Amino acid sequence: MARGCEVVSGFLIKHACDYPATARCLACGKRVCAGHSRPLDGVRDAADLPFKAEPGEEAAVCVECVKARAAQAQPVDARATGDPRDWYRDRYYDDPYFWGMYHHPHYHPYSVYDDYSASDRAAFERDGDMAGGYEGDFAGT
Amino acid sequence: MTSRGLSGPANSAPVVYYALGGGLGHVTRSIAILRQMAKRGLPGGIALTNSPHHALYAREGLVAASIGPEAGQPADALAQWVAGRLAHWLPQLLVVDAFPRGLLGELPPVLARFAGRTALVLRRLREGYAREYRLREFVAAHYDVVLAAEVLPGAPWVSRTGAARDVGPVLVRDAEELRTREDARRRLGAAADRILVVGVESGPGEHAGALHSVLSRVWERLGRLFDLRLAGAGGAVSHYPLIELLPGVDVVVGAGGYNLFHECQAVGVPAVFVPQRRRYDEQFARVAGATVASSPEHLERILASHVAAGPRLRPAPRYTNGAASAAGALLELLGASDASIC
Repeated sequence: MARGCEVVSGFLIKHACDYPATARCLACGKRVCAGHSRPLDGVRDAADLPFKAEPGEEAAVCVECVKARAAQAQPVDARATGDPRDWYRDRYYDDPYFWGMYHHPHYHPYSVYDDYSASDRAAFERDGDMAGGYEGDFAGT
Repeated sequence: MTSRGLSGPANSAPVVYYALGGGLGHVTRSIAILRQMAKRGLPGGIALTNSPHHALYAREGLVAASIGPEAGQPADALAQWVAGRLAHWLPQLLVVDAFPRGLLGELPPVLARFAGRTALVLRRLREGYAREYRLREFVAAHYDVVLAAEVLPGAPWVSRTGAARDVGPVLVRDAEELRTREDARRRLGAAADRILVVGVESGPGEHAGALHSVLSRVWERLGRLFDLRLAGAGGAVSHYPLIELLPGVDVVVGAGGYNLFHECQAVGVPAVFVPQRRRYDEQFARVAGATVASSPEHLERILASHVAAGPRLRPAPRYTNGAASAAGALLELLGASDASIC
């Protein structure tokens, strides 16, 4: 799979991750990189997910969909299958991507990115091109 | 190959090593190779540098001539300076690091007039640069030998005497010169039973300082469960060369520059790379196949797994230093055996 990860992230500046996609999220259909994907058994009711992986693609769920499902989990079926909130908490309590959700619950569940600045995230960007302009930079490397 | 001898005027130097370029890669490769040549009986090599870190040469017992951006630009001014140094020291061998045509493309007239031997120490370069300036044709016409200091993708590089010689990664220290794990950790102030992560900031550009910032936040978010030391620009660890301390480090986090990548590979220290864009270097290609963090959260997950696993003892590093192979090839080019120059 040659395309880039389609997860859009960023606190101040939204941008596509664009790292090489290794899987397809079966919940939203996005192509996602290893850092932004979780295995299918990381969500409840994975059998009902709407998308299918194409040949050569790994089936997964993206972290945004996992977080959304964890945040929306309600204890309506707790007596039958256990509290879905505990189900997600057991799996993601120590997952750094969910750190804000479980360790800083006073924040909105989607606000884990608050701990990183736009410039922090920029260090991981690979888009943009420095090609060209050769032999004109005294500090070039 | 006929020996040109090693005698000469009092101000002569047998070798001049052109190490201009940003970052520490050019400085460190030149130090590595010049000290290996000295070890093999040919001291007195001189480096040409534009690095703000030129004091490192003196610390390593080497001589360097330094030029700043005011005097070194435009290209014809730099060509004059290089030609002047060569006229002064009359080297029998000119070694050029990474940039076949020079940092500003100033070397073609210099090389055309130079009467001695010429060698190119080559690491990865952007193919766009190589194509645009027809570097392979230029190298084949102007260099007596090409020494490949890492795997070079694309079409082969050849010199006037044949295909590029693969000398392997050029490292500034041999394995037996490194600190022990205990000594390195003592110098870094690390506890014996905690994971020690060293973050290495490198290179110029708009992201300078970002890696340290991210690592500090990761450290906080993971509950400060590991020891973190920051090296490179702005970091508290200023030890040079860092490879000496790597046996004591559990995880290195840094960009995909030449030095750090090959030092980690040689020493066997686990590394997480956050490759950066460079004008000439191909960091993303270099670290392909290694552990690469694609986001702060991804970096957190990787470091959390190391913390969970705990410190792991590694065997003492053993590696072949490409600097020694390069020095041997250059001495061969000079037509001087170890015995004849000792």
